[in-house]
Amino acid sequence: MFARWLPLWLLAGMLATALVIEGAWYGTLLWQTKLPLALLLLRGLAGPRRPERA
Amino acid sequence: MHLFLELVTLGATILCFWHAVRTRGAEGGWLFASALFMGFFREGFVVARDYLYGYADLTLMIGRVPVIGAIIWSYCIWLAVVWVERVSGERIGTARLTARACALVAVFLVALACFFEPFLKLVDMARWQTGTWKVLDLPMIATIGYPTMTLLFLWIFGAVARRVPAGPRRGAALAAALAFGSAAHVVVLQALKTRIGW
Repeated sequence: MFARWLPLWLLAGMLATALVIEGAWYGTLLWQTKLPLALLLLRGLAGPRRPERA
Repeated sequence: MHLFLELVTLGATILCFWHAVRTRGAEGGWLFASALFMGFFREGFVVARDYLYGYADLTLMIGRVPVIGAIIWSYCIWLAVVWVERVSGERIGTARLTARACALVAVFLVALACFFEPFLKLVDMARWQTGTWKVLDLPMIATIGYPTMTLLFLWIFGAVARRVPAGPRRGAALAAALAFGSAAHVVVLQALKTRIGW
């Protein structure tokens, strides 16, 4: 499963590294520009929605 | 810092190439190799014509083309292909692109631009033309450039791959179409940027 979606995990790692490098934890505003991708990545890593039961 | 980022991106791209071949076989290899070619040609064209943006002095270069600038396109494109398949179940490749897949690819690439561009500005790797309109260090023209280049690539790749069987003729057709398409994209994007003042 991890290998199947490896690129998404790589990007998640890159995003986390960028946040640390930017010192986003210390109050810069640039973390906001990463929110859209973080949300899309979470959606991707969560996988497709399960079909509704009849 | 620059060399660290160049090596990380190179490593991620190599892993993605392996992933493309592992999960899609020859089709994945063709798609990824085509994206690599497009990236090198496009960035070479940007550098040669001095359009849109420039780069800091980087360590990994092929001629005047920074390797990171060239390979980042194939990395972004493969990420979009994988993400769309993951969230929607649609398989992007040789099949005709659906409107839904196009919309998802566009949304994903805009989000990628929002991530990459402010970071590249912060670490001083990419230098956009003076006067480029930015919001939170995001050049607004990038929100058009990223998705349109990716969609153009996927459209060209699919159209050629459906018509020409795998082999040297497909390679030549892809090279010609992607070279023309990516150069035209840069020229049109620069003209649009100048025209609307972004």
